[in-house]
Amino acid sequence: MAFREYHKFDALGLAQAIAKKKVSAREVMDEAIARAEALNPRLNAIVFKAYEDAQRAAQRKSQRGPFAGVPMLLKDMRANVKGWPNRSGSRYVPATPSAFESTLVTRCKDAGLIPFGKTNVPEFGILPTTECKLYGPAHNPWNLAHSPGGSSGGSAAAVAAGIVPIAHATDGGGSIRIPASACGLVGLKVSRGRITQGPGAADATGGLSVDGFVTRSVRDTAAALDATCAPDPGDPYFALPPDGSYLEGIKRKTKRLRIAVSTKMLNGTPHDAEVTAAVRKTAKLCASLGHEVEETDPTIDAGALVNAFSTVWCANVAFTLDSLAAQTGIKPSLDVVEGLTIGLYELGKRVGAAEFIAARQVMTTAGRKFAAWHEKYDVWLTATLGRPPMKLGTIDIDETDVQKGFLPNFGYVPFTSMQNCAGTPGINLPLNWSKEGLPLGVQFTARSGDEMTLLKLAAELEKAAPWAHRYDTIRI
Amino acid sequence: MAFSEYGSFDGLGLAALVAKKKIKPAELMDEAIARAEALNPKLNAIIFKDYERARQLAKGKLAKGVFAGVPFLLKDIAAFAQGLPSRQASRFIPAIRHPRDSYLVAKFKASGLLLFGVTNVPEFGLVASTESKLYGPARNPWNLAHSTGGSSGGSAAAVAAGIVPLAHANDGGGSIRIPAGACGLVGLKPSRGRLSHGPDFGAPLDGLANDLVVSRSVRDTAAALDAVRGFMPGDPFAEPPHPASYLKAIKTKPKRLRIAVTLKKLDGSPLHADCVAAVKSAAKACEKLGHIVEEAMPSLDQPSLMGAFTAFWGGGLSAGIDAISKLTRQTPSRELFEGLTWALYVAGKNVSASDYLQGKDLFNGASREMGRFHETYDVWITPTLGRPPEKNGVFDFDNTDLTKSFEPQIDYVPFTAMQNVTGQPAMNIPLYWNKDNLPIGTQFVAPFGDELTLLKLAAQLEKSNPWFDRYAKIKV
Repeated sequence: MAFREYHKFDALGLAQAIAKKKVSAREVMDEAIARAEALNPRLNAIVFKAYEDAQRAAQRKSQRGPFAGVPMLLKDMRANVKGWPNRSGSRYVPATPSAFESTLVTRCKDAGLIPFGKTNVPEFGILPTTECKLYGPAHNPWNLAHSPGGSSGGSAAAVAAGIVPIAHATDGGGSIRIPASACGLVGLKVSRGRITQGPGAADATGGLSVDGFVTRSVRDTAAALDATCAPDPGDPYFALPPDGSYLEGIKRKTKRLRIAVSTKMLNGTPHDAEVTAAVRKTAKLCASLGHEVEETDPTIDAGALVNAFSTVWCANVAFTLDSLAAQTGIKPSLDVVEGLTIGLYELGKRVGAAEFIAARQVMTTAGRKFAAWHEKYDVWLTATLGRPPMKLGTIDIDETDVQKGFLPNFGYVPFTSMQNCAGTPGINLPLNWSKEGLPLGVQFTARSGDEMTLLKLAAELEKAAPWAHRYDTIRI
Repeated sequence: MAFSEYGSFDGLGLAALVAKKKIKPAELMDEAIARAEALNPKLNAIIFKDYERARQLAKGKLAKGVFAGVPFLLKDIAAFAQGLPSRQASRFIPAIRHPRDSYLVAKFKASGLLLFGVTNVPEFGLVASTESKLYGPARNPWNLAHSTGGSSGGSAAAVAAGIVPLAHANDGGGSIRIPAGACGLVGLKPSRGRLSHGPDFGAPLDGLANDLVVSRSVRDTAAALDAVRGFMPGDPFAEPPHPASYLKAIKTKPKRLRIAVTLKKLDGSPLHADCVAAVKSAAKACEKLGHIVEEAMPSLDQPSLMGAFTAFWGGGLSAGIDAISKLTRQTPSRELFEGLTWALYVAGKNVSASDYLQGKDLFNGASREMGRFHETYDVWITPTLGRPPEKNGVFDFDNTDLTKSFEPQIDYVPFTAMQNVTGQPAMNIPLYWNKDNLPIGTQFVAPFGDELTLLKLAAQLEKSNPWFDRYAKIKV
């Protein structure tokens, strides 16, 4: 039996329908798979399918956890499942089955989620779009000519299109928030250390990258965080412990927040006019809810921070490819990796440990400045993307000149990497749409460890300016 | 007025006398200074004196902390205090007085500790003995021909000799635990993130290093941890969970613990008989207390971990020296450094960021292994040093051949670096003295974030196997 209402539910809603036996977990899974089969040829969101495993899991009698029986998808990065390949969108990564399961995946399963596939990414998750040679581009459900953002673009496209209500995502420079913005979703980048990356990784991308989810509802993000945020004994460090359950927390009213809003880039460059208008509109909405909103920018040396970020980023590309070279016996070249990746690799190979450490020190200094600034402001509101979601093909992944290749990114992702540098949380909320009907996300960021404030504010805004009905308008 | 019983009190004991007005802080300070003046010519523990300011401070209004009025010394590394130099025993670092207190020093001061000097270290704290060209060697109060251990050797000598009841120390490879082992003291390296290294640093040595004290009593270490622990805004990652007060918590004995003891080196080769005897006696003491003790060892690939560890230290050292070089406009050259330092600097310059990240990957493997190991064992006991404290002059620190200057230490301190790699808490407890009356330290290791178990067990052992009376027998 098909479950036609499937896509109208968020993950907790589906779990509830299953718990109340309005529908079985197997029926829900079959519907998810049917939607995947119907939509994926146009979206290219899913790049690995494990339907039978998932159907078997959905058939089990005892479905437990807050998400019991809910289908989910995992990004083709980090979230390892025993027996599934994990290729990070790269031809260079062999399609060998993973020998272990990531602790995060185990926790998702323990929470009742049932993964049934892996989602599309750009090569090694490097880009703010999801285009790679291995899989080809993922498409934005709101307009197939446009990019779903990146690097968690496959996950975001699948959630926006209603294939799943929740999908795994990772964020080393904005890769949760950017696709959440482009696809009109909730995307929380957690504080450094909040979600374990073990056993395969820790402090990923030199401490820049975290794991998380993209969802349609705020409560799904809150519940998923509750289910996955416990520290693992083998982690290199922990995040500040949460002040109770996030799902419970968002039911409580938020205090009056002091919200700083930036309506342009920190170097003064303006955003696209529609984006600026969206940020202003959201600022007004916050003010109307009783928050104290002030248009002001933090005094951060954004240029130095971007350089430090690039140093750490390139060094990580070098580390990744060097590791693969050792593993496969094949030297990195244009035969096995994309042009932009090779360009970054060559830059990364020139980075010494001392330079890397100095770059991290620049990040620490910026982190201290952000923290001092946050003594005055609880939350910082910015655009997530400086322009509406770009069209596919805008970035030339074959370009080996990094300067040239990354040109389309300037002004496109003006803020997101700062939270990766500082280790602070940031959330994209789908509060605005362009005249063409494309989502224009806004980002709220907070103090390190303070996901609770972001989620409470998000829940308040979701109530004041709901967006769930908009997903019904998607026609793929 | 001389206060002859000064040496029979720990820090909290002295603070209690002050609180009860049995003695004035100025008298305590006079006594500490008198002892320093009498003993330091033999010990060379203190390398910078700040007596006049300290006497003034002792006469003034005291901070209201647990250590109010207790004389204190800072290590010459990474503890920036207003008006004091911090030279890391390096001729390359000018004796500039720092303009402000680091968070750690401010917290020490807020606990009522009164600084009156800076203690001896080896150059940049790189080695397991406290011998430098700038300051000359510190000497072990138990036998002046012997090394104090390092790098917090000056602090350890001053505490063992009764100049101060506790002193600042830090540990990037064992530098709290090794001198505590060699001088018969309590020395706890806290978990990564337990305290802040701000505002100047984020995670020193990329999270390998941490600060606290060496002390004579367990409760002094517990109280010091209470005083300085805690996340500060802008820290790169957060503090693991903690009790409201370690000092209060250690009054309750630990649950029945499952304890692993190791009587061999990590590669299975034999340890010095004195170290085996020390661990066996610690194991016996634990068993007597009702704990379950068995011989077991985690599987850590020490050679590859130490390779990565050395690359980390080299990279960190080269970043540090280059930063100082920029500030002071000096060019680093061989004659400005000791041989080992220079060689490690040069080696560090050649470490690529990619190799450095490869090292981090290895560290993650070790952390995960320890996470698994601690699923079975609450505590892991090892010797702190691989043999009894060496004599000064045994190591050739001026040799630029690292196989002759740096590497011999790995065999001397075969365990301590592992906890810097994993970020776990680890503690030297002074439970054994060999027939030459030299302390043979025992190291206790707990899961990440679990200082409490270590402190509770230490307090229990301090009661069952007290060591405090031994200090009275020291004749310097």
